[in-house]
Amino acid sequence: MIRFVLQRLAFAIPTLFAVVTATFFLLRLAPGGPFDGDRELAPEVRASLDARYGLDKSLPEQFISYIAGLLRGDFGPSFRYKDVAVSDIIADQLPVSLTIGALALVLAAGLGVSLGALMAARHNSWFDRTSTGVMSALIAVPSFVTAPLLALVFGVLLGWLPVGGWNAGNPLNLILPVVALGLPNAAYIARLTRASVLETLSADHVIVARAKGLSPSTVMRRHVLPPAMLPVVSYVGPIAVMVLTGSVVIEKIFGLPGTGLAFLNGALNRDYTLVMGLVVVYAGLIVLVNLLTDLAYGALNPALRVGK
Amino acid sequence: MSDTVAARTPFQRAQDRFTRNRPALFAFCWLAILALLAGAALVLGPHGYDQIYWDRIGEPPDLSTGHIFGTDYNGRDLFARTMLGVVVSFSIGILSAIVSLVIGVIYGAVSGYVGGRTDLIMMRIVDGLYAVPFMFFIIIVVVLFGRSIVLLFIAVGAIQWLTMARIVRAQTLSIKKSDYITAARFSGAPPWRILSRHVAPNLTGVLIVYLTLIIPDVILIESFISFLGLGVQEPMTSLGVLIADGAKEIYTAPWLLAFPSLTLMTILFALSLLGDGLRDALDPKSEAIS
Repeated sequence: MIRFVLQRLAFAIPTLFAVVTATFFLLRLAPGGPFDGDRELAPEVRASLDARYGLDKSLPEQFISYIAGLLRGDFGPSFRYKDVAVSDIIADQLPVSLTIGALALVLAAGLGVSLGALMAARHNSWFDRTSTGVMSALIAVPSFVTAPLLALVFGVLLGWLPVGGWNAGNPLNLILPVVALGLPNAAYIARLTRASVLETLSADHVIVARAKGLSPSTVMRRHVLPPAMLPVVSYVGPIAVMVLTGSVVIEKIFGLPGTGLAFLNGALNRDYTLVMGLVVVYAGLIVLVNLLTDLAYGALNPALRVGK
Repeated sequence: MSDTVAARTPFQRAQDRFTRNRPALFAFCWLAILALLAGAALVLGPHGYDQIYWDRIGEPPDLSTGHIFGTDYNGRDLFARTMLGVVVSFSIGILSAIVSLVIGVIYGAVSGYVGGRTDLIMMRIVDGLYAVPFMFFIIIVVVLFGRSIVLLFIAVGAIQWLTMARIVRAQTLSIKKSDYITAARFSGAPPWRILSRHVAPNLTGVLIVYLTLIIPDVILIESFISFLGLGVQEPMTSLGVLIADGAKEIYTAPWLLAFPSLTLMTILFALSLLGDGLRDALDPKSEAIS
């Protein structure tokens, strides 16, 4: 178990290094720089700016000093916002994105699994059929369509919830973004769960469990859901990544000061260090999520239990 | 004998199963109609997608003027623009799917067939690439290297091949163990010939199903990127751009959001029904049921 975790973490280091290297050179090879504004800067101003941010050195030198900084946990100064460290920007905005993302994921998993199991349990009933239709429709509606619609209905017409803003994480402000981000994924998970539970319901061990006279709910809880969760868990990793990075659109619509929006603006402004820093943080998050998924997979499937 | 009970090829049986699946058939027809309609509207339609009617700015749908979807705030016919969006979305979806198909099949088949250490390293690379925040990667590419459609579909195709490679590898592994591959190998066929003549054709079913899953994904990603203002640029348009523009006018001109998003939703919905239908039709396991 510990061996497995260490192994994965050891593999994560070259992965992260490759991601950092690729992003670094991709950014630098692109035309345009952080100080190419509308106005041409005076040559001496430009030179002093370049010197201050180390842009006057050769690319390999810049790369080495950046990596050296990263190893010390230093993301460097923002190229755009004077005297602000990238780590401060990230520390400021990551909690916003993570809160929204984590809540959306909880909503997606909770709603998706319970609805999917319920649909499978009442297979072919009117409840199953309507839900299947609704779920398929929800998957087909992108979050950037649901988000403005939700804002229109609950924010403007009914006036129950604020249409945007962070407001220091006020729960009321969180509801709409979390629902918009979580709903399509909940539908996706529900569909996966339903298919998987239906397949498991006809497995031999479930028939035995039922023949022993266990109540349907016990059978579902003890014998059907754990194995049926396997294919679902293998999708939670990609879904988590999608929720975390997909929040760009949600943050834009609801005007939330999160990392997605920071990334978008950073890329537009050629704020190299900010973009790099966010890529590093997100790549790290993805590695972590994938690791957790693998561990959950092992916990649910004794045959695949790692380290044995 | 054989002329009374005609032997039916697997393909014919698949076709039968598919045509019996009403929703999938309906979805297929809808997509075909939409594609034809969009093509026809672009070539023959009365309104150009960039034609500006100065006297009809932001008008709601009106049959008498011929703007059945209304006009936008630049006085352009929304129907023509939505149809252009359909064409752009379909093209990006199909082209990216082909890019990912080519990379994914070659990579996955080689990895699965060669096996051993090569397989391990190749799959570890795929695992590693999964750690790249791809939405960010696409944003970087389109922001830094210009907002062209071509670049967009290459970037999207270049990330979608990962899952494709995994699926192809898994399939190749199981095909590799079958008797006809052993037979081919013992009769002295070189590996590339076995891959191209014996392995690849047997992947077709899985690939078709997976393609119908990739295309909606790609269409969604394109809309995402266009929604952020990084995709297709004016006066060209895509469904994502139209939805983004419509979302801004949701209180004053709801039809600008309604028509493009409904169009996108029916496309995505139809593609998922089509994918389900194809999976049922091409999966030999479903033979027993039908």
